[in-house]
Amino acid sequence: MSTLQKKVCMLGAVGVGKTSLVRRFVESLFSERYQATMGVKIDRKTVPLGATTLNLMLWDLQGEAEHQASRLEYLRGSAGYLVVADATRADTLATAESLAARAAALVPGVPWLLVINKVDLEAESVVTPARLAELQGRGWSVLRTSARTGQGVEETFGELAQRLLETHVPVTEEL
Amino acid sequence: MTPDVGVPRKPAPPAPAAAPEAAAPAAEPPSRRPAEPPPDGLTRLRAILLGRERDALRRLEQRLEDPVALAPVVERALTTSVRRDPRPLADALFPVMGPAIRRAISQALAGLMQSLNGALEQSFSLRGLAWRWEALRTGSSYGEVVLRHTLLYRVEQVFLVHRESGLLLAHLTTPSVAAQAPDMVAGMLTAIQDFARDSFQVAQEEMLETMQVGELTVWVEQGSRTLLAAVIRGHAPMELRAELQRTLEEIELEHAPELTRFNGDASVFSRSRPRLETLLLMETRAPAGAGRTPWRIWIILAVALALLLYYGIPALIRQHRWERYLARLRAEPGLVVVHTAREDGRYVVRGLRDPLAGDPAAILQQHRLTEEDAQGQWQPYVALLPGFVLRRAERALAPPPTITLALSGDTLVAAGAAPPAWFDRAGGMAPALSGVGSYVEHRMSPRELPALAPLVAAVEARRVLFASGSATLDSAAIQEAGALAGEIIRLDSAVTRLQLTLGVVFAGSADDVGNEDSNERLRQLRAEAVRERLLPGLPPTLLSGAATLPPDTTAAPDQAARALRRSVRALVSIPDPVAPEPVP
Repeated sequence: MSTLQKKVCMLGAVGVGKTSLVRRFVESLFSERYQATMGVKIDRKTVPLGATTLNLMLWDLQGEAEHQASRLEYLRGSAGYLVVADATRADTLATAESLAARAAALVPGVPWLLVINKVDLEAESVVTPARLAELQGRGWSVLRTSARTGQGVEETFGELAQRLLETHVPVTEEL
Repeated sequence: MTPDVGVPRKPAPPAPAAAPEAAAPAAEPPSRRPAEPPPDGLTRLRAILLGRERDALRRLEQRLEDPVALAPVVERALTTSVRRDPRPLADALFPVMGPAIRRAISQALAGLMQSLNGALEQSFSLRGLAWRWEALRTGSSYGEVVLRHTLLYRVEQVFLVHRESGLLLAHLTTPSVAAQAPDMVAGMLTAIQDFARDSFQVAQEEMLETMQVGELTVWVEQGSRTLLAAVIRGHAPMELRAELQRTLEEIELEHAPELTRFNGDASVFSRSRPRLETLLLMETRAPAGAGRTPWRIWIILAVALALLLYYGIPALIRQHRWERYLARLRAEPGLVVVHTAREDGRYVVRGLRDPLAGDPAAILQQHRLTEEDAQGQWQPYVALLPGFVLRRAERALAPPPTITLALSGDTLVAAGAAPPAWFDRAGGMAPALSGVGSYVEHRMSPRELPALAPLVAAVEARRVLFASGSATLDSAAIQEAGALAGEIIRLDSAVTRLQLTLGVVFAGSADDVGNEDSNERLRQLRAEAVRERLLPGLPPTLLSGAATLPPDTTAAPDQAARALRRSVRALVSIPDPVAPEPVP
């Protein structure tokens, strides 16, 4: 059984739930208390995929705020990333789009997913099916999650892990 | 750079900048060759016409692929270029060499500062003094000694981290150290680098080289694709940093292909583990060579012994004297030792002292101790010991020598001869004295005093005998008179000691033979004869007289009794003491 390490970054506007998603995924915990992430926080989750053990190094980056753009230098070396938006705040979706564009320029060709978080707050959701279809129309993979209930979290990270493995190119044979 | 560089048509000097462009076409032909079609007419014709040129071309290609064959050409090209104008080559190399040189210099300076700081830090401490002594003794410089002692360190963990992704390539720990999630630490190590660079807006090559966390220091070395971090406990020498850098360079060289294409599989980097293991150094200061230890210990012991002899023995002697002094104080009546202590390097004794008790200072001197050694603090008090009660009574009553004071229980007894006024005063004062319950007196005449009574009796028992009808001293009488004189002198000196005066009357007597007139005359003559015989030998203060005793009218029972009546005896009189001046 081989072990692979992959760096995965969490991007998104301030308060969309990046840290909560990581926490739900890694520790199966959720806290109502909001705590802003300064700089970057690193976590690890081991995901077994077939004959491979994937060590996901989750880089939880400081959220993108109006007055301060995220430091995307942290994105360097990522094997994949999640762009997170808040289902109840339309502006976070716009931020996500902008971040996705900047990230694609910085680390082109790596797998990524757009995550609409807080879907448990269905009533307040501003992401309409039409908007969703439009985003998917660009070829983006959009997943819906709730860090609070855990809905879609495992699936999201699982999906990304799957893609990381698919895009993995073994080096040793070439040498 | 080396394999692709420099393919000049001739070994003549090309400009260094032109080299890369020339490389591409030169690399093409070998890959195209296998695709050539099988030989046909045209090919054969080509071989006939261009055969020599093609062979020459092939030899040239082979030569180009052989770096050894190419080396002299490249060297010549570089030499010529530098000789003509060194600037282009210097400019080309500067971006590579500059930072490296800067770093090497700054590290050397940091090493110097480290030892200097260490030296200053230790200069004024006890340890520093010990090190100065060591430097003096071993003949090495103080700096060397300080370095020797401060270079105590252990490299506890080594991280090899992929710089771009922050993923862990290799991690080693010393056996006793428990490492926490090294892959997350690796990520943070790179994140911190990015954070520091962004926060302080420094150039991309600059880096966070040192982190200090309590006793731990993290040294980070950065290569082109990896970070090498060492977690060090203690003070590592700067050479270790050079070692880190060297190791990092070697690893990057060895793993260059894997690093370029690193995709998360760190297993290949296990090859670098032996190299990294050499970094898990530990430097402990061994407690000096085994051969040198004994004599050092002996010197220390000898010094300790000398100090003990110099300071300890006198102290022991003082201690011994002090204890004997205390025992003596405790035995001394009228002194009560309440507390003993050692304060500010000298002994202190506190207690009670009756004013009549022995003087502690005099006792101190007897025990060959000075006020420097021991100090006494005494509170006055009144002791009710019989001796003290008696002495106080003697002080207060001032008895004449003829009075003897004694204490029986708490009864004060005054016995002897004294003027009545003294007895009156004593009777008034004595019961008021502390320790005296009641007072009893025995008044005596001076001759009754115990010191005098036997002597008086001895004097009065003597008889100087005369022959019948004679007043002349015969030889036996002279002998007896001499003995009498001796008794009188003895009595007189005892009387004088008691400040009294002695009176002696020599009284003559006669037997009943013969008529009374002649007998009276005989009595007179006999008394005078003895007095005159003895007077020159008697003390001048002695009051003496001669007298006759009235005739004994009773008939003498026998001859012996009659002979005894023909004699002179001495009658003693001691007047009562005169009232002395009252003692204040």
